[in-house]
Amino acid sequence: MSWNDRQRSPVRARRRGLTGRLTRRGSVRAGVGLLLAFASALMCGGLSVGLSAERVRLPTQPAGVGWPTETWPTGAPAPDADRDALAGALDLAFGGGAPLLGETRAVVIIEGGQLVAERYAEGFGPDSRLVSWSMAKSVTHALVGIAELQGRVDIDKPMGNRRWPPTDERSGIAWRQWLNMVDGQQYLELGAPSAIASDAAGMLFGPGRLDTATYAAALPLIHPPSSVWNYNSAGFILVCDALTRVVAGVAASPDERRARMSAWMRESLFAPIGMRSAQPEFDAQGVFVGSSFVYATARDFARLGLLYLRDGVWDGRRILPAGWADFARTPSAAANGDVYGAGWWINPAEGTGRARYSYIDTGPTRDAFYAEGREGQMVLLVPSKDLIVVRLGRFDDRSENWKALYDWMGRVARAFPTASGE
Amino acid sequence: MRRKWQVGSAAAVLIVAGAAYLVRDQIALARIGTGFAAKQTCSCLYVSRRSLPSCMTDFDSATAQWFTWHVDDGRSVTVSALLGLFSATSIFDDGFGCHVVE
Repeated sequence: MSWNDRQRSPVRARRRGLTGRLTRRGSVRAGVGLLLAFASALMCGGLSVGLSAERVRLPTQPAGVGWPTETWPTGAPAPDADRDALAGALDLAFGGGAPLLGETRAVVIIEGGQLVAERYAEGFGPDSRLVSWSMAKSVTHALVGIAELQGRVDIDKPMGNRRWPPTDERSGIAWRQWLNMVDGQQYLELGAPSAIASDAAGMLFGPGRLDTATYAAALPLIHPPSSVWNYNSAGFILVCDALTRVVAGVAASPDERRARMSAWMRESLFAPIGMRSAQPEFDAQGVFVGSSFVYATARDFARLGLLYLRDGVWDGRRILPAGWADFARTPSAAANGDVYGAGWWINPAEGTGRARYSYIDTGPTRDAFYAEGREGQMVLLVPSKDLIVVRLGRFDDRSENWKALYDWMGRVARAFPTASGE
Repeated sequence: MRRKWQVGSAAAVLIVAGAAYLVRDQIALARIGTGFAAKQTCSCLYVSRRSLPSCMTDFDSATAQWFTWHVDDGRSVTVSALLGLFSATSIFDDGFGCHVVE
């Protein structure tokens, strides 16, 4: 039985009440405008046509194409790619012709395992380490998979937390439920009306900033686990807290805890796939802030994408458990869980789980899934095209900005043909 | 006369309560804002290795004018707000990035 078989469920088409109501940037007192980015994080608007996401078989590395553990093999886009469309999209992103895209700092495009296009804004380059924001959750998902493969955790068993007594209902929530964000915790991020109301802002920069896991652990349950999907960065902090303690054991100090965790992360994930630039960050208690903080180059974020596109296998070595990538791109059983897998977003034509949902139109096959982070970070994977598109940059987290990025990502993806064999 | 005093007292209580509510929001926002600015500037400088002027472009000017940055070259960033009543410091540790310490 694969990871995914245990929790697979059909995508639900009916609309249900959303767990977090989206509002646009509201009024704020002068001087704190940027903080409202939290209040309107990760939005999208637009239309949808009511078809579910597809799960296309993940492509294998093409014969003769080397693995990018050291350097990315380079090549040209497929002969039947629309090069004019691709060039036009890149010019649009970097030329200032699309204000809603904000500032695009890096774009890396991988087709068939080869680097086929790359561009950077002035002041940035292949060695620029840029912030993941919530794309860190995709890294965290990979780390839990590695721990599972190493026999350190069983994701179908309760994750627990040392701050909760065994009788606490939260103690019974399984790793899988936290990763699917169907934990049922009371948490508000998407659609928070202000920075004050945002648990993300409070946890990372406000009252919780010195001890993110204690902040996260204090949040109560408001739904039975598995019943409702709700975007929950605190849940990923709790996953990281639990994972850190599994990996680091009883550490004498926060410094020792993060040192052990960091070494394991590099040995188990970053080094094997050549993510040498990756810099995870930790809070003052030594807990990996795996909801939000991994810095890496665009090329290295593409390496993480390739690991998932190759079903967790890297150059003949299994890094992630079999089926782990499918777990990432399959919705949970929650009624409104159709837009999110585990640590990765999925791309149904119609999404009920996200207010003002927008679809990335990558072409006839609806198989894309993606990592996404605040201010316009994205790693888009399109299995049917054997394609990875990384975009790093910065814009305000308004729904119209996200819609513009989704449109741009679709435009890039549609410039590439369906891979042979699909 | 007594009624006027009662009305006046009630109004004063309401005004004080309203002011306290507004200050509470400002305090919460100042705390979050300084934490955000300190952490992000620290990571921008020492992890991304961008220049301070480049890092400052990540903050809108309307926001930046309310904060004061103090950069300890190579190690830490402190950001304060509201005349220094609120501040946050983020430090850089090589190999571990930045984190807020106060």
